[in-house]
Amino acid sequence: MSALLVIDDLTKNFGGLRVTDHVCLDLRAGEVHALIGPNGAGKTTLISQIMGEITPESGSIRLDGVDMGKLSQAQRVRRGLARTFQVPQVLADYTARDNVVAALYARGASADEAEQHLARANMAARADVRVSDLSHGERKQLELAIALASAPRMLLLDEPMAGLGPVESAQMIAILQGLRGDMAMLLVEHDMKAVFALADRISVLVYGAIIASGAPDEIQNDPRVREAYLGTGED
Amino acid sequence: MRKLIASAIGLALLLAWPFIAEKMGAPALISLFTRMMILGLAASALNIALGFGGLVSLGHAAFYGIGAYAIGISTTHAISGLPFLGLLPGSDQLLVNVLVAMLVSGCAAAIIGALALRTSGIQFIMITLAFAQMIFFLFLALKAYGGDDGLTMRRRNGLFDLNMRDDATFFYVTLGFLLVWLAICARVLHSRFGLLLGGIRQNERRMQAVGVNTFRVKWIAFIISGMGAGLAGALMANLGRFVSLDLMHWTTSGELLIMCVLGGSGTIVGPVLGAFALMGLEATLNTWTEHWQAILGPLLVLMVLAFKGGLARIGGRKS
Ligand SMILES: Nc1ncnc2c1ncn2[C@@H]1O[C@H](COP(=O)(O)OP(=O)(O)O)[C@@H](O)[C@H]1O
Ligand SMILES: [Mg+2]
Repeated sequence: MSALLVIDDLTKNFGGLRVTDHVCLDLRAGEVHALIGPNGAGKTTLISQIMGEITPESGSIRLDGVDMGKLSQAQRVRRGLARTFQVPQVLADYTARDNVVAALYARGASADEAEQHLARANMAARADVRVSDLSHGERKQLELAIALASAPRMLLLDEPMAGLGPVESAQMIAILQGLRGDMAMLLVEHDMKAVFALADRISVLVYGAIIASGAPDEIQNDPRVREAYLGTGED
Repeated sequence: MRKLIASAIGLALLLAWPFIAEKMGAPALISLFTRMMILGLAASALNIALGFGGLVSLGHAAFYGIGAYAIGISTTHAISGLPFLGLLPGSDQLLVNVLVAMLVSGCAAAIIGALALRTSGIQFIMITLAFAQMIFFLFLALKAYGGDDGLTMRRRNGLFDLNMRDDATFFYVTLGFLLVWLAICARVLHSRFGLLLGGIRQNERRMQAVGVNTFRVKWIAFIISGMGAGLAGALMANLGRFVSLDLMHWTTSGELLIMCVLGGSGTIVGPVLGAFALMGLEATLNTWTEHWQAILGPLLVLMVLAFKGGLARIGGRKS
């Protein structure tokens, strides 16, 4: 499979702190690529740079060969990028449906599509509930529905399982399984069960640098990864 | 449904008001209510930025005042027959002048908005205030158009063959403008644009992430808001046939904010209710005691606390 999103030599500092350290990453069309790494490793910052919310100091991000460097967030969304947030960023006064409709209007699509995106994130039954009345798990699913409404080719997921109970986690994994193949995904996740259930490939980010990249079983058995992140092994 | 009935009763009362005031032997109350409607319109205009866009502007007195001056200047030139800047002829027709006023205040809002909207929060409040003060002092220095004496218009602008000198007629003309404005507001806010604007108020980061050019949406809202304030200013200039520099004073911006909050920012009719409540209170307290302001302040605080979400939300979440 060809690379859809190519990140090359990306670097970003926050003051004296290097949060992205010469990162290179190839994300292939249709593939689920997991990005794991300890808290503060720079995973969220990497997603924000891909989306154009944060500007890197150097390096490049290309989608389908097109340099995204100078493009605004809106332009990147139009070219097929979408993200979810680790802490749900939803519109609290609106219904779940209107949250999705807002994303549809943003790309000039019709509100009629909302139903289908809510359904794909298992939120169809909660469409008319105000967001302030949704549970945390439902908000995480809504995050996903909103991102799907942008019709992405490349979906950037920032810890979709964070804060979910076991039942909700299993549900989220099933939802993401259902999306597999429809779009490429970059899955930032701490939940190893989810990572091994979903990922085609895994990259490990530590202190802003990718220390290993490969198939799930390679990563699981990589001594550097075990030392730096996985500790003694699988959980 | 209850809201609909309340609105219908309110409208019927307004329609009958000139007759009621005459019967009460207090024709001055007609003009008081005209003023209330005009300020209600101005507050409703501010509310597009404030209530729907979450943009706390403390500079709307500038757009209100610019609208008033635009109409005052146009009328002056129409009456004197000398073109403005040697180029533009004036007009003494209300519809023409209202368009001119909205255009000019809309341009001012476009310029000020383009700069102020690069900031947010307290900074935005301060920048809008600073621009409004600048414009205030500009008109203060503009001796050709009255400076701090203000600008007197010899007569009200004409509208079809109506007798605009009659206060009751002008009352109905104002009511007409108010209703059209509120209908436009409702239309805009229930559109795609309105949904995006509300989304930005709630979470701008989210809206950027789904690809909304949030700056542009806020800018357009700010311009519409400025145009509405200009319309109100144009009507106010006609009401008293006088453009007071005070219209532009920053305290006017503050009053408009209070009207929005009191009546219910983020609702269509709330700011109008707020204007009636605030000005009604002022007028009533004024007749009781000369220290009315000392009573008004605490009273407003109590009212805002008692009617959380504003008068328009009494008995329901939205109007
Ligand atoms: N806007 C910011 N300004 C300064 N430092 C930041 C900012 N955002 C994140 N950081 C820091 O950058 C590092 C990486 O953060 P983040 O990307 O959120 O990590 P992760 O998502 O892997 O947990 C952390 O040390 C964090 O404190
Ligand atoms: Mg993170």
